[in-house]
Amino acid sequence: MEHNKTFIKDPSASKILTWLANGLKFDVLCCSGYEINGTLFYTKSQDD
Amino acid sequence: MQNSGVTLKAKSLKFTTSKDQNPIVGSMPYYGVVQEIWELSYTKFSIPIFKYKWVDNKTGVKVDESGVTLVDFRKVTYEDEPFIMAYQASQVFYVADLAYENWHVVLHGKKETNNEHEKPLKFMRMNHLHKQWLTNIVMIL
Repeated sequence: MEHNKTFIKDPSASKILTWLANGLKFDVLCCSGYEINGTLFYTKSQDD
Repeated sequence: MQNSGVTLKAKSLKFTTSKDQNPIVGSMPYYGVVQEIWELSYTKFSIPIFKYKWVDNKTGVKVDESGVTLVDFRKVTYEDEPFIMAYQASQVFYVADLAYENWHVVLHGKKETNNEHEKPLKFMRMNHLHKQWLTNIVMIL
């Protein structure tokens, strides 16, 4: 986690890197369908 | 329609023997089925990841004499690493093979690959479908 601390403090780090270094939220939204670059993906249970 | 079939080409080092000094980098396709789609939130942006069941490449994948790839979904493995980034996924269709029981033929979709992570990823949640919050994923991970 030393890595993360370095990037959070570093003013030259890009905004995206800083947000990544701050870590993710531990509540995650799950969805049974997603479109990625024009292709539709479903979960198996959505397919059935 | 079937939208849960996925293939991923992964690069890995191939050793011919345990003492091989010159391993080559090979590209290996893996076949799986989407079990869950997670949207990781980094506050300002989100990153979608897919959770799969993967077919074991050693026992669950074969190529027949005419070059057709077949997979057996009873041979599932790699349970300790079920996630991939959404951009790595290419869609495939699995059709039950009538000649070999339990085997499915792999058919590739129109879009062979969107495997370039340099390209900006365009993604959209299908909001009309079932949604659910997983709370405190630290416990799961």
